[in-house]
Amino acid sequence: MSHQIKRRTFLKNSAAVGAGLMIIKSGILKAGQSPNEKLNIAVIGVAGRGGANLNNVKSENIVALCDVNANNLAGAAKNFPRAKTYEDWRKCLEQKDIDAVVCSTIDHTHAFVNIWAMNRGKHVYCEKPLANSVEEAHMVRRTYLKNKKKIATQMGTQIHASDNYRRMVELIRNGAIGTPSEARVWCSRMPEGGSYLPEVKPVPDHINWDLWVGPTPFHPYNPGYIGGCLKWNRFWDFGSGQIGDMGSHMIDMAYWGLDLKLPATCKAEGTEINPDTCPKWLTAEWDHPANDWRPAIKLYWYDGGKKPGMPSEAFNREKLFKGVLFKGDKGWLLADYSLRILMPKQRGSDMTHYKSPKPEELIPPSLGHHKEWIVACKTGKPTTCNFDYSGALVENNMLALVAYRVGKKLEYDAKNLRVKNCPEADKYIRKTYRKGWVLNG
Amino acid sequence: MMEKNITQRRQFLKSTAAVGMGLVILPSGTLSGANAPSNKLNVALIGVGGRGRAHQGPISSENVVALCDVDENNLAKAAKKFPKARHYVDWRKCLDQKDLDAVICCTTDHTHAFVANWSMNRGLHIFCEKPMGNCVEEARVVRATYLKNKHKLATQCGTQRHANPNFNRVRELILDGAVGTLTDVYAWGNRQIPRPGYLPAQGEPPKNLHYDLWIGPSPWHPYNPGYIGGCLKWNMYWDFGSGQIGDMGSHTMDLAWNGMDTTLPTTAQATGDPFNPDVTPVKMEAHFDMPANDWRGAIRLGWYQGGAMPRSPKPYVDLNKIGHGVMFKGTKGYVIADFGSRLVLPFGDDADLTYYKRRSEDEVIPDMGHFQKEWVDACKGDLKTSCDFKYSCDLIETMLLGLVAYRVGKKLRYDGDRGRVTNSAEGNDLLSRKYRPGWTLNG
Repeated sequence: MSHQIKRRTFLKNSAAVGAGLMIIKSGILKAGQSPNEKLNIAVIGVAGRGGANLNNVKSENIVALCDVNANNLAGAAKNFPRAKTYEDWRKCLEQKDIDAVVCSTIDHTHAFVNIWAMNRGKHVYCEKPLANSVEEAHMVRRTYLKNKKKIATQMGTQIHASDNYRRMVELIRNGAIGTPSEARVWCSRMPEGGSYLPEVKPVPDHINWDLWVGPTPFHPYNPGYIGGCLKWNRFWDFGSGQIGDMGSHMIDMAYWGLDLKLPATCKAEGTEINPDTCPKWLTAEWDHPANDWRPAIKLYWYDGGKKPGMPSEAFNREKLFKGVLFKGDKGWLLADYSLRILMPKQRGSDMTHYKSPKPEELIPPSLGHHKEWIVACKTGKPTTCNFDYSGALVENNMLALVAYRVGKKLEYDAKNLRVKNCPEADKYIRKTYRKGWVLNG
Repeated sequence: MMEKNITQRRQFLKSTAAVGMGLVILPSGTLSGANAPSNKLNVALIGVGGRGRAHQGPISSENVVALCDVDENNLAKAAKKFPKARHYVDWRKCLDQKDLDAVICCTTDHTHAFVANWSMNRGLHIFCEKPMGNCVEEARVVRATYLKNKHKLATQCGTQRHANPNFNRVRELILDGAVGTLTDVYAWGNRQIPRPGYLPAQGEPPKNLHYDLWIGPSPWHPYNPGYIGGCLKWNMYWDFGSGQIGDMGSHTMDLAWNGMDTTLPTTAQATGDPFNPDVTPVKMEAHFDMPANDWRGAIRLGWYQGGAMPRSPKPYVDLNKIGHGVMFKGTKGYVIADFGSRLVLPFGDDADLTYYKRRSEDEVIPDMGHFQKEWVDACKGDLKTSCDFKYSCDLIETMLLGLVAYRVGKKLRYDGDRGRVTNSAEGNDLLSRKYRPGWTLNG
């Protein structure tokens, strides 16, 4: 480990003098033989989002590939013949020369891979959501904070890199809606509900189903669980429904715009409790405490077809599949991935409260969500969705599912990872794992 | 002589208003400053039913000395509120009354320009319901009469929605650069009142109604009760109005006009329903090239009515939900507004608003206050109003030129200085209309 950190420190220094390195004659150091300039990356989960992520980091040295699906693994290995291959990520993380990990596994193993990787001094890029319970999110964030001086982390909310998000944040922070008071976030994806799928035999030879299930309670194999997050993430043991999925992207907008951390309260409602699957629709409401530039904020989430009311009839709710609606004392801001509409209050909103930015005050464009992380690994520059920021976001989102399951307004004590007014919430804050699996390993 | 007397009286009104503060130091009850009887306007109300009724409350602070209506029942009703006022059925007679200072005109659309010109030619301030004319020439003559008299007369076109502070906020957004450089302005209205043609003769006019005077200068059409009872009964017929152009178009284009600072268009082109010689089109869109001014380049202006609509910049914004609205398009985005509210839509990732010039609080355009009161105060004071007959005749001349382009069916080139279409004789013929014998527009 100390070896790795030294190597990492060296990378950092060499990047700082990067311009100096350029004087080396090209051709002397061949690609793949210049480890000092490139990260050694392990890609855990190589298909689906994993394939997209792999493609985005392939400029580095891909030294390890890991997947519970041998076919996926073989497909990826064709392009990276030098990479070692694994089906168990725990084995993969033992490989000595790894600097950084890209994790694109099933939701219910994210926190495990994150924590194990960080505990081993690796930089981590992890698909959203970072965790499958409040406790897992809390632990990921805590592990990151303990290691933040030496590792770079990024949650795979890649839309965060868009200029549209930046323009949206600038509008809020520069007072376009006056003093903000709430944000309502929605996505109309409709979770299917239902029950765990019946067993299908046999498990195909190329799938290690036991490792796919990993730490979470066991359910027998069914091919319906496999093939992208929408196949698995509605099941409690494998994911967190739409608040974990699209909630990571969409609530990110509110989190950045309003500089949110951890909520003080949460309540939620949804379709009738189903022991197997997340609700078909969910609405949630959080109180976020005041900070040094704004008062307390009410945050709302709607999914499964629920949507907030609109301040203008001209905002076409039908067409607004997803979005965020910020409210302040001077107006509203409606935003989505590529949309910003400001609606000043009819009266008293003459825009003198809005301080338009100077060019040099604009939030700089992202290098790209993956590139940003790669540069951070090498130089110590910050990432925008590190596990402190995104861990809090996911913790906030997971808390809504606890509130939904308990059916009460929770008073949340984030510091101590407990709900003050509701001891029965405890069993939903943390998950129980299969024997042999340790979260903080 | 009459004119001199009026002018003297008016100068007195103006002076007393100017020293109003001084009067306040007198013991209360002696003279009540601005409310002193001698400091009140003597007003003639011409057209006292319908919209005319809306003005009676606010104007009751002044001396209403004359009431005029072609319907004696309306006169009788108004007389209850203003028992001292003299009665007329013919506005020409009414304007002969010696002690008048000001006129509020709420007649049918096709007499507006007549009453406006006659009043101003007699040295009377005038508030006139929209629209200011029923053809391009009428708008031009009213404007010319006003400009000749603007040093002594206050005028206001009855686009009272202009008093909504939203009009100022929209103007500020455009001037301050919320859309970047302005390139296009769109205004639309969804009102649809289809009619097949002029109504058939139906019975005799009731005794209380002077139908010949109702028709006034316009070509004769036999009586039908369906013409009477508010502008939506008459304004779609070519001889009595200009359809939605003059109706909601006057209001909605006002919201657009207020943010453009424009003069007259250089071209006009329009399409719509098949031409009907009796009624104006329900569905129509007209497009104009508007010249550059000192703060922007030339822009395009579009008017859409009766189902024609501009395209929304984003599917999330449903312009059809805005019954009467405007959209300003610039190099960096859009401002979309109705009478009371507004949306700012920065368009694209580089629409970062670094180009938006924030105005300080003391640069915010002050509320105009009550729309009619602005005019009453102007009559007694500096003569300045928000919708004077320069502003409102420019607006309606443009809109009415759109109807000419619609009838001609080709893109017209327009010389606004001379009031001539330069590429269509037919277009020129349609700028004016014919009157019944005995009626003079600029009398």
